[in-house]
Amino acid sequence: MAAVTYLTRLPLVFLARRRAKLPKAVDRMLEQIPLAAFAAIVFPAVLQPDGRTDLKASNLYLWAAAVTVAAAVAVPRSLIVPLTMGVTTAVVLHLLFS
Amino acid sequence: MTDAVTPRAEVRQGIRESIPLGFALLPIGLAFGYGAHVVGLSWWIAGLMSVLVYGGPSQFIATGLVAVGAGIPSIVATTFVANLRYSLFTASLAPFLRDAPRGRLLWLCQAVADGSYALTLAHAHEHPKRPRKDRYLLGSFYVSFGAWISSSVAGALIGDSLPEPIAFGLRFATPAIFIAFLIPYVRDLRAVGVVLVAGGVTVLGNEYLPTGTGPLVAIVLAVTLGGLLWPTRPR
Repeated sequence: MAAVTYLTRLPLVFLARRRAKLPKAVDRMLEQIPLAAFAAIVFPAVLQPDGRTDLKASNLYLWAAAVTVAAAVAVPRSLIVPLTMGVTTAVVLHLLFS
Repeated sequence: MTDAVTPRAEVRQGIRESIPLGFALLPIGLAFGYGAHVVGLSWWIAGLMSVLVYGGPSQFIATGLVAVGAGIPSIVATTFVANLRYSLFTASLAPFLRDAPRGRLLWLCQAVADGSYALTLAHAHEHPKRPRKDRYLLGSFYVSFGAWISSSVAGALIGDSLPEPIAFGLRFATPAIFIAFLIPYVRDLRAVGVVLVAGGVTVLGNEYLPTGTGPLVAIVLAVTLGGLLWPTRPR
């Protein structure tokens, strides 16, 4: 597990040594990676909290996510504010509705 | 703007700005350690896995596979596929690390996990003129690695004994912090499209594709659509 995981990280070493400019299309694809990667973490964590897709209003993480998005938009460049708002919302909703 | 900082200050900034990430990692590490304990792995195996693999989702998948009695080859193969997204992360970070010493990159690539990747990339975009982004990554690695290992071991030893409302809330720490990472990148319609494709395909993939492949398929698809096919106006 360790060895194959290390392999997946090696592009850091050899791509950092390339001085040549990358083609524009590759550049544009690299720009999309954080967007796609973070969405691939957030969506299942919110929409499939127990492994099954749950789009009903009773899925409390949907509401917590809405609060977190609002907090992240309202306080740009902050991690602490959306993090605490989101977690607190989830705790409070669980106390109220579960 | 001179924007010059000492090497140690750069590492310290990486440490400081990663503290929220460290907190967000604790409940997941606890859950992983506890899950490992439940399927019969001892605390030091859980800890060792966190040190050597250091890839959250793949470690969860591995414990799941251990539970169903899967063999080593299928665990290794699944790990590789689940962690291939690190190749995308490292490829997207590499252009900012051209001035880092190669020897350091050889081991510092181990630092590229989801959270430190997000922080270091944001840092690189914010301070394009500053040299040696590897120092920031190193600082972030200290916090993230420390939080991940200590919480995995703690989870295996003491279990996941938090009261349910708190545990429920803490499980939301990961999506919450990654929402905070994601929002600054959502600046135009293309970004919205990439987010929806990546998120939607991951959710569908988790339902219908083999374990661990959903996110990778989704990211590759979204990056290709967003980077190559989305019409771009000349800038």
